Amino acid sequence: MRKIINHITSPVSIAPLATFRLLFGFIMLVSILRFMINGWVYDQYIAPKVFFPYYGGEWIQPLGETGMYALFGLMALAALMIMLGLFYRIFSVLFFLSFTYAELIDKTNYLNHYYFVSIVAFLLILVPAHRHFSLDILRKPSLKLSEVPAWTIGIFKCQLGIVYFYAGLAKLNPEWLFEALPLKIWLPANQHFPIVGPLLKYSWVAFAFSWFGAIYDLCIPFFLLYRKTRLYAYAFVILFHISTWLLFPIGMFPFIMILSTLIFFPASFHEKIISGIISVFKALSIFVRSGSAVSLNKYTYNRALLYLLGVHFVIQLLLPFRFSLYPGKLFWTEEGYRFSWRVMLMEKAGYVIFHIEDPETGRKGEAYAHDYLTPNQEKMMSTQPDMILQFAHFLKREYQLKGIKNPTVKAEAYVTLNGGGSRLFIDPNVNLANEKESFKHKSWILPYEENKVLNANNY
Amino acid sequence: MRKTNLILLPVLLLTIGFVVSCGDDNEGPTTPDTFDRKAMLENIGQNIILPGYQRLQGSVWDLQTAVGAFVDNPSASTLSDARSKFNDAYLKWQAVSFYEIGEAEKVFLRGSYNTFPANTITINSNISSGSYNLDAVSNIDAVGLPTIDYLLNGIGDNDDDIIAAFTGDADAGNRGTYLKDLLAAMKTKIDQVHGNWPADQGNFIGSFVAADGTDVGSSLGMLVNALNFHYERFTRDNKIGKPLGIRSLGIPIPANVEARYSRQSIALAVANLEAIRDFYLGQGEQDGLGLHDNLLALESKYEDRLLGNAIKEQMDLAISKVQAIPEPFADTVENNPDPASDAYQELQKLLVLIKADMPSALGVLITYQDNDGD
Repeated sequence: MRKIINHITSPVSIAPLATFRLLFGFIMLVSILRFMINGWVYDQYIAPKVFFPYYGGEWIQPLGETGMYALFGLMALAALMIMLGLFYRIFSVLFFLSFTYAELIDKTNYLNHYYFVSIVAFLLILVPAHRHFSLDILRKPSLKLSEVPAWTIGIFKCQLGIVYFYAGLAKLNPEWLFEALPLKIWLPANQHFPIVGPLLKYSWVAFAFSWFGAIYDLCIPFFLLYRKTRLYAYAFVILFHISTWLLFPIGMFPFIMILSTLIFFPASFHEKIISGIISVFKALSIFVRSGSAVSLNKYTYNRALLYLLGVHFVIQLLLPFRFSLYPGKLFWTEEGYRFSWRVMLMEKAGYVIFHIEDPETGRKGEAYAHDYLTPNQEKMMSTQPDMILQFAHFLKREYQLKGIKNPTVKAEAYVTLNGGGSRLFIDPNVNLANEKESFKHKSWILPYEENKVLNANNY
Repeated sequence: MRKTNLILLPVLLLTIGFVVSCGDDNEGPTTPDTFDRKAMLENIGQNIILPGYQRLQGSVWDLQTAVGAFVDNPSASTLSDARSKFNDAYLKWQAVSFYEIGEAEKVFLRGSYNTFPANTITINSNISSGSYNLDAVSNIDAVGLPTIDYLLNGIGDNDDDIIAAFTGDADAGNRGTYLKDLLAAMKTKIDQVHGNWPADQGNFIGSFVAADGTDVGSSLGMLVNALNFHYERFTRDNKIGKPLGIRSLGIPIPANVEARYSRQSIALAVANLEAIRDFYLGQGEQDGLGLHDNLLALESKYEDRLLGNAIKEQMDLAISKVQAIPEPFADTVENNPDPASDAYQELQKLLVLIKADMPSALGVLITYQDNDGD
């Protein structure tokens, strides 16, 4: 134990941490500006009339038009300040809070890479990443550090390793490995690409991509850690992420990973980055000139912080396995699916017909999501049981407002998973208006295997 | 797609493919049919969409002439001619209504051509006042085919009353002008939409065929999303579901049927469904490549069948069930709703296939937003 403590608290150069901070702030700034320029603040937070908060986080609501733009403005400012290392203590906290708040408003927008950003932002709060190559040391020269305890850099490597390794573990399922699904469905859609396009329709290509993806994810953290393989591994990082960027609409994630994984490189490499940046932008030399650096600091033996991090990583290691506490096929029920680094694992689509009944008069009708939800919300809701339940509760309130005291809301939902053909998804006889959300298994999700027919009509 | 991508991607993918495919020959060689998406778009554009707009344009021009003749000289024979040209234009409209992309989307063609039920109060107050802006959103249900339907078929109890409304009535002059103005506005729109397509005019066909990806902005993406948007809201809901009372807890709303006054709701619904089937099959002046062929080439499965064929069969079934609904639909929904309820069930099943299974199999995206999971 003492050995471990000694190892993680031993002093190392602060350079990797400083460039990590700078690059992360930079890519976040780009991501947020891109998000705003694409009009997604409006599409995701202002246009929708209904939102899907997380269980337990129902108090997290959108802030209205002005509020949402202000939130994203603050987020962009905070990213910029993290990049510059100016008032870092405050802005790292503000960035984490504003970003995480925005992501928790609506499950529709859940992306693994947003979850990753939230975690990194949280970890950045805990480390002195602003005490080298930053405006804070210009502001207050005594802040300057040349060395930090090893754990302040190790936690980011550890987190990245978890992301890759668990993404790889998630690919170790029969569909991915032995049927090349869903890549066999997705790749042929790109057959208009020059040269490789015509190849993408062959199933051996889908198999090659599937196996390469799984092996890459499982191995890359180790190859990045090991000095002799690091450079080749990083070449694969670039190759892999650029390919996924070209093939799939996954946004900024590839670039975030390409920049983040630089932290695996040694301090000398990061010093070179810093001096490289300074030689290009001469004015930036003020970032390093001032102050005389000290090497060790008060973080070294802050036990509480280390315990907090210990808890964080134990959660990180266990959370992705929570799915095994639920019965049924994970991709079908999605119970324990999120927050587990399951990226690009399935092709799922569905359609839900909501049957409304007024028990007092016996009158029956139907309600459809398109009247209330954005196309993206409707798409996400149609395949995720917890969102179907939330929407059923929303419909219950809607019909109560129309004067029906106790409306029955049943969902006739059809879902197709990995091109398997749409089949009945949840029990159409269950009144969802009376079902409660919880972490328990939703018994009204029909098992995948037993439902092979669409023509189960007249509910 | 950015230019650099086009160069980068092949290099990267070939490398990956090469690196990984070494020794990966356990999977027997599968040789899917080559499917030329560009050729499909070419066929859909040249052989279906463009001729569709051409036919609608011709019938709107004919209707304009016939309506002009009727307004200038109201009589039983000019009325009957105007009605027959109206019925023809309404049928031709059904064939183009579900691909509202490009210029049609820009000029809001469907909204201005066929928002029903027509609002007779707005129509009559426009006529009495004689001042109106037919492009205004507030007049969306006082223009287009449903309004012409009302003025040619519903303004009086019988043909004599209808003719009188254009001769003896205090608003007769204004009414005739209104009818002519409606046609002029419709002509402007279809001229604009049609003119945008041909290669020697707006050449939308050029960019349409060139955008052969599967993202939201691609032609396939736009067509599939436009089809589903139309089919769900307009074919299923507006034409059949809403009058039947599906959206009003079982209370039928006969006044909401399409073509209420000319009593041809079911004929129009069938025409719309048949046009959707032809479009799906790639069937225009001659048979060519369509979504059906694309799905067959992808070998997408639906249970133990091919998805492409399952959709075609469901389309055939839905059409036959809708055909079995007795006209006039406004009476049927109150007196004999069962055939319509049966038809509705088949329309629902078709929707699941074309809105969930089909885009999933084609790899078509529905939004621009980032997605890392599905």
